[in-house]
Order: sequence, then C-alpha cells, then structure tokens
Amino acid sequence: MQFQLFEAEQAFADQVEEFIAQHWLDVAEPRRRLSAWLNAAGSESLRQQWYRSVVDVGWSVPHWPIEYGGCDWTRKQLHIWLSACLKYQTPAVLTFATAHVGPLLIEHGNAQQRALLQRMATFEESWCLGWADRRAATDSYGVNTRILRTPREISISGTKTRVIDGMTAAWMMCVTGGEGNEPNENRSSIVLLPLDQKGVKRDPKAALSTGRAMAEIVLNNALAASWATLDVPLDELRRRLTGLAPNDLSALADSAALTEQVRQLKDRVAADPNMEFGLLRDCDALAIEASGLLGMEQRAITQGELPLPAVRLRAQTLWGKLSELQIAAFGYYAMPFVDSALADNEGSVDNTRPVGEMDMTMVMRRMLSPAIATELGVDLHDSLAQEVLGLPVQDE
Amino acid sequence: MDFSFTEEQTLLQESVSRFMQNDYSFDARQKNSQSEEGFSTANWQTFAELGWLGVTFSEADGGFGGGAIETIVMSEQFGHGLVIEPFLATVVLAGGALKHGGSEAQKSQYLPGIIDGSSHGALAFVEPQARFNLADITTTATADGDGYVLNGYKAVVLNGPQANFLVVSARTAGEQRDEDGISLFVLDAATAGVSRRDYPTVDAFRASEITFENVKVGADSLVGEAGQGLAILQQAIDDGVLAVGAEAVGCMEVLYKDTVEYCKQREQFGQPIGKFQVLQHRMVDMFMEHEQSKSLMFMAAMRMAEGYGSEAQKAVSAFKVQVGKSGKFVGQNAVQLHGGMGMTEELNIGHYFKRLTIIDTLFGNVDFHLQRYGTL
Repeated sequence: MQFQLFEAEQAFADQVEEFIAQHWLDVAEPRRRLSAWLNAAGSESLRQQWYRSVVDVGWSVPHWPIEYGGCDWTRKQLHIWLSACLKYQTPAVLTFATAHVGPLLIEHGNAQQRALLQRMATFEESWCLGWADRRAATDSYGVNTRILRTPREISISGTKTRVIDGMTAAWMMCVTGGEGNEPNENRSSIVLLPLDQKGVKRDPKAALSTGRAMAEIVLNNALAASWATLDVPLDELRRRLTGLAPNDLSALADSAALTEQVRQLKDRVAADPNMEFGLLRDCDALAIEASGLLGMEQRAITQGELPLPAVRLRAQTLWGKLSELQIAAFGYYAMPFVDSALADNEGSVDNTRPVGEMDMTMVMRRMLSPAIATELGVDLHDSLAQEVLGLPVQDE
Repeated sequence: MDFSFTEEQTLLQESVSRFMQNDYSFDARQKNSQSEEGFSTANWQTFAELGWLGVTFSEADGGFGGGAIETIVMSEQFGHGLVIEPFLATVVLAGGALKHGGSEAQKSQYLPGIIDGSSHGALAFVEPQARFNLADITTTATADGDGYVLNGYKAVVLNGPQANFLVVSARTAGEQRDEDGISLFVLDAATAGVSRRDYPTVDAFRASEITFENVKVGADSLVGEAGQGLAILQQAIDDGVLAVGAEAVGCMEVLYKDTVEYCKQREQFGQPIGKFQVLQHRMVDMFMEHEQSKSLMFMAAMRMAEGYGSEAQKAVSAFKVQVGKSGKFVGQNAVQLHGGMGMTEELNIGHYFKRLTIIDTLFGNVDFHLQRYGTL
C-alpha cells in the first residue's frame, strides 16, 4: 500500500497539469473559462479552442480502443486526466457522444455506424439523446415516436422533448416505438438520426438552470439511413446512461474537483467575519467525505473492489452537499437570478465575490444535473440493492 | 496510490479471518466476557502463538516489523468477531507508547511479555476533567532524589484490571493544560501507592479508575525525555484511533451484511421484507457508509505508514470522524431493520451497535476530531 502516485504516474500527472495550464488556464480569464465550462452562449470559440488542443494532443477519447483514436492508457492515467479536467473546469471531454454514443457504436455498431466515430472524436459533431416524448415518461411503454422502415431508409415521426443540447446537436440517438400502430412492448428501437434535415424542427425549451436551452424537437417523417438502427436493448442503454456499465469510468473522477471546490469554499467562509461557524465545520466534514470518495475511486479503479454505481452515488451525494454549502455561503446573494451572458456584459451583481467564482445559477445547474438519472428511471440505490447486495427485485 | 496488500499482509488477514470465523463464536464471546478476566486467556495465548501480538513491533524488539497497515488488517477482522481480548490496550496503546518512546532497557523489559502473551499493559492517560484533551493533566510527577513521586487520578483505564504494568502520563512541569511539561512513566501495576477500582464497560470490556498516591518510581521509569511525553502519547493514541476505527469498519460490515440476510428471509405480507424499496435503499445507504469508512481507513493507514506527521494526523482524524458518523448510522439502522430482535441481548446486532457507540467516544468523538481536522 502506498499513498503517493508511482513515479510514472506522477510524471503523467505533471504532463496533464502542464497541458491544462498551457491550453486552458492561461488562455482566458476565470469568468470566460467558467462561461465556457457551463456551455453558455458566446463561449463557443473558447470551447472550440480547447477541443482543438485536446484533439491535437490525442487525448479526446482516451477511453476508446486505440484503433478508433483512443490512448493506450491505464485506468489510473484515465483517472488522472479526467480528474484534472473536472478540477480545472475545462469544457467536458466526456460529452454525450464520447462517453456514451461512441462506446456503444464501437461495441454494437455496424461499419456505417462506426464511420461516425471519427467526427465524434474530434468534437466536430455533437450528439443528443432523444428519449422522452411529449406527455410521456421515459419507460419503454411511453415512447410514442413511430417509425416506418423501407428497404432504403427509416422514416421517424414524433416529438422529442427536454432534449439536452438538442438545439445544437448534429445527430440524435433517437429512441422510437414500434411501427405503425403496433404495441410498443419489446418493439422499441434506437435509431441514429441526422438532425440537419427538413423533417426536423427544433424549438428551444427553457431549462431550470442557465446554460444552453433544451430543445423540443418535432420529427415529421425525418429520415435516417437503413443502417442506422442500433442493435442495443433499451434497458442496456438505460443502464449505460445511468453509469452502470462496467467499463464506464466517467463517474470515477469527481473527488479532485470536489476537494478543490471545498477548499475554495472553506477559504472564503473562513475569511468572512460574519459567516456562521457551523458552515466552516460543514466544509471540513465535506472535505473528509471528498477524501473518502478519492479512496473509493481508487479502490474501484485499481482493484475493481467497489462497484461503479457506489462511487457514482457517493459523488452525486457529495456534489449535492457542496451545492447546499455554497448556497448557504452566498447568503442573500443566493437570491438574484443572473444570466451568464448578462453577467459577462455588466458584471456580477454580487460584489462580495471575485469575478470568476461560482455564482448561484452555476450551483443550481450542477444541483440539477443528477436529475437525468431520475428521469431515465434508474435509481442507483435500486441497482446496488439488487446487483451488489443481492436483494430481490421489487414488484413492478 | 496503491491499495494492494503484500503477500504477508494477505496471509495475516486470512489467518485472523479464519480464526474469527471458526473459533470465535458470539456465544463464546459472551460467556468469556462474564469470566473473571473479562476475556478468554486461552484466546489470548492463541493470539500470541499465532504471532499477532508481535506483528506491530520491530524485529529488533522481537516482533515482525509491521505497522499501520498490519494494524488495520488485524483490527478489521477483530471487528468482525467483536473481539474482547485486550489487543488495543496492551499491544496498541501501552506497547505502542513504549515502541515509540521507550528506552532499549524498557523495551527489553516489557515488550517480550506482550509478544508472548504473558504480560498485559494499560495506558493511563484519561483524567475526569480533560474530556479528549491529552494535555489536560493534573497528575503530577515530582522529582525526588534519583526518581519521581506520582500523585493523581486516572480515569477509564482500559484493561486496568488485568494490567501488569502501566504507562502513565503525568505533569513534571508547566500548567494544567500546557503541552510541554508532560512526561510518561512505565511502572509495575503493583507498585505501592497504586490503587484501582475496576468495572465493566457497556461494550463488555473492563476498565479501572486508578489512584496514584505518593507512588515512587525510579528515573529509569521515565519513557522518553522529561517534559516531552505528549508527542509519544499522541502517536500512541493515533495508533489507537486507527485500530478502533478499523475495528469499527469490521463491525459495520457484519451489521450491514447480517441485516441484508435477515431482510431476505424475514417475511411480511407474504414476501421478504427485503423486497420493499424503502428498506432496500436504507440497506444500500448502510453499505455506502461502510465503504466510505473503509476507504478512509486505507487512506489513514497509508498516511501513517509513510511517516507520522501532520498529514497522518489529519488523515487519522478524518477517518475517526467518518467512523463515528457511519457507525451510528449503520448501527441504528441495523437495529431498526431487525425490529424487536435487534434490541435483545441474545442477538449480536445490539452488541455491535454498543461497541460502535463506544468507539465513537474513544479517543475523541466526531466533534473533537472534526475540530482537530480543521486546525491541522
């Protein structure tokens, strides 16, 4: 047992730190970086600049197999890279495309589908998930979108709602029901659908938090290629999106970012003479839990001793706790709603914090992010209860 | 960061685990706790024969050269068995103080007896007014010729009834709460002027209140340098925190696993209660608390193994905070999910819970260690 990184790992960590400093921290002042991290309007050029740097160095999809652009990295190296990106709040290298769509196509896709990988790996084409239909929940029975297959193509009609990144995505991983009027049971499909076509109409749908709006996307005989059906059961897709796939390391990199943000919060709380003492202690308590999360991540990575959902569940819990403490630290300044673009132009209304620090809208956005798992209907508690503790499956 | 055990550590873990499973039943434990000694002397001798009592001492002192990692390896397994033999008091605390600060003569005199199981020790460091402050000491050691005279009172001395020798903290200089001026002394428990009042603790261990009245000891009783004993004491206590924390991790594992098994079998409304979602989620939370504590156990042990300093102290306090919180959560929920059975003496659940509750208090509770963590 040893606490420190091995020599080779430390050398790699130093290389990563240097890269991020050179291509992210030193290229823009903190508020611009935060805007780009949040994918806010007006930050596209900075995001693209970062992505170009990542692609140039060959680190855009390190978790993919080498033949598709991946790196021959150990799990620890991957952890170091992803942890550093989260810690320094770079634009996400694990996007929906690189984290979920790519691995699915590599594992289950046909040759035409795999041809889409290259533009994912270079961040040239972004993807979105079209699952929830209007007035439908996200169980497989509630999908109303219908498809019509011909030998040459697939025609899709329906309305996908609450589509994250739907306004800008080039492609949709579209969950559809059966053909015609047949029942949905066991007939759901996953179709890879290009969105830049005349059968697709997108309308912005305001999200509770800032950043880019979600989309409502009307598909009116939208056309996909005949090869575009992905042969993956819906339950498997659901599991993967919830972070339950055994090789999904995307959930294993939160502790460094958490630790850093708790440290920043504690410094701020400690410096404020009017801050409640209990908040300082809560910061210490959270720092301890973040340290425990690091241990859990390492055990999951190096020994496979811990199931990934356990680490993911813990991380979600701790991000929630951090958000609570941040809101408490904001005091009255938890109240103003400030659009990021407005803040860019006029400055923050909160003059108690330096420019570039977290503001309330950012905190709210992060607090709401785990909701995606709930929306997909998979609770990590259920997964752990049944798959790790061996408890019986609940009744439907 | 590397969490893997060496081959020797794995063998040690298997050895202790096997003994706990095959030779350390809960019923026998309960019976032994009622004996005159409060534990099984046969078990203690077996521990010695298997080498466990010497694992953490250096080879030069007759041990096996282990340290913090070996401490958690053994203690976690002791937690599984809810061991009442005084490993903590004799090996970790009294033996630890001598290991860290004792002279060669003192080590030669006391450590072989610990390692072969023939001798028991106790660390007398608690005073009634001090809460968890190790430096709050009113017991005095006054220079007298070539030696010292001890006067004072020590509270809740673990394994006091069985101890052949005592390691005692006393003030040789300074004011009541000064960090300087504290010295440690090792002396025979039967020295004239030492008197005890023995009692059982709620978690089935034994302890004593000890009065020192004009107890004369030689200069060779001084452990380390005069007035510099706090650092030695602190290190021994942090070893103790690591040990009881690991024990708590073992206790929690038993509690959540036993609870899961119980809920798979106990039926209500024609189905196992383990099928109810609300109970499943509660058991997952128990599992998560255990895993979080176990991760911090490894972190603390690795820090201690790298060298004792502020980082190690911080990691140990972090571990103790987590163990205190998790132990309470896991223990309460285990009792709750077992229903009325969880409240009975005959079932092991309540006994694990009692031990976890006491472990939270031992060497400083959640609040104390959270405060310490924040200042380190």
